[in-house]
Amino acid sequence: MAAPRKPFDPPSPEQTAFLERAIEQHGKATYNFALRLTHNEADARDLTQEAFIRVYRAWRSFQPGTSFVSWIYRIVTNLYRDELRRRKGRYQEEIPEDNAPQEYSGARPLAVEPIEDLVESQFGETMSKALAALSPDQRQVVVLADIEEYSYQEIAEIVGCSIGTVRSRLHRARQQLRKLVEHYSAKS
Amino acid sequence: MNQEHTTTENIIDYLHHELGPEADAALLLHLKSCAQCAAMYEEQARLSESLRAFARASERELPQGVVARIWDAVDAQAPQPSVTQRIAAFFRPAIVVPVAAVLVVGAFFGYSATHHASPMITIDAAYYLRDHASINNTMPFGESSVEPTSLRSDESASDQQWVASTGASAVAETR
Ligand SMILES: [Zn+2]
Repeated sequence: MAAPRKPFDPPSPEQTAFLERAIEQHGKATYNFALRLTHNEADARDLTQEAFIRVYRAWRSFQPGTSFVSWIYRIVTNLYRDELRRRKGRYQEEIPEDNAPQEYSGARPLAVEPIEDLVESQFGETMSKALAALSPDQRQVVVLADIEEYSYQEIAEIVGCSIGTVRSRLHRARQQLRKLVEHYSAKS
Repeated sequence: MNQEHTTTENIIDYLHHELGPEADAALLLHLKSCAQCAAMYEEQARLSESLRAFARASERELPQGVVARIWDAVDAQAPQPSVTQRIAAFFRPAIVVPVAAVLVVGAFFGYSATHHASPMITIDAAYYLRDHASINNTMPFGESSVEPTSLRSDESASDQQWVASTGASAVAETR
């Protein structure tokens, strides 16, 4: 990402402290969230790095009293979406309509070095493959609802869609996930 | 209680505490008396538990390299020293002569004058909105346009205020 010229905005000690605290307290969670979203370590590192740079630059727009984690997850989510769009040439992902039937394509969106090997158990491998085979928005909603345990309302805010979309996407994602888990556990 | 079987969708909402109080209570009651729906619930609950177990097992530490790269990027983006700072640094070891003082003062006012020009603020606001489209954009995956939505989002108003106030304080500083 290019560093554009910015005429003023001298870094203040508060701004530096804000970033330092943010990395210390939420760096690990952000990285793990990015890892689950992208299913790829290199992408997760890039996303995390870029997200914290955005946090640093936009630190004043963070509203105290609101959830920092939700804020940075939203940044990560949006960066990931932008990245997917940029890579569209390489990965032909059709954004599914909510009522469109979804088929398991077997495509793994951004994976270069998948994280299956990180999880040694058979169960972990099955779940890892199944999650990787979901579409990015399905995976995202499953991660937010079941791993991060956010409410539909909170997910809608992070993802930037309606609660109805969250609900229907989650329903379909879980159906899909169950099929995929069955598929991969039968294989292994 | 004699009611119809529930749906998978209802079970999923129930599992995520997303049913209203009445529907929640009714489903709880039904699950107690209906083995078929209870089995459906068990299956969905197991899926959620598996996901959490997977998340726990696959949790990673934040790589130190990432932290280092964040600070490198932040340092690289720090603004260059201003004209006055550079001149001050240039003259620091030298004997301060009236000519130097005049130069510094002259450069200072020249520098201030450029900072009073309003185009600086609009350029910065445009930069900010463009660069932070990802932050401001609250649209889901698949929406085509990034910039217009950032202008529509609730946050862009406060961001612009922030830019405006930052600009104002920067102007104040040069006085
Ligand atoms: Zn029943």
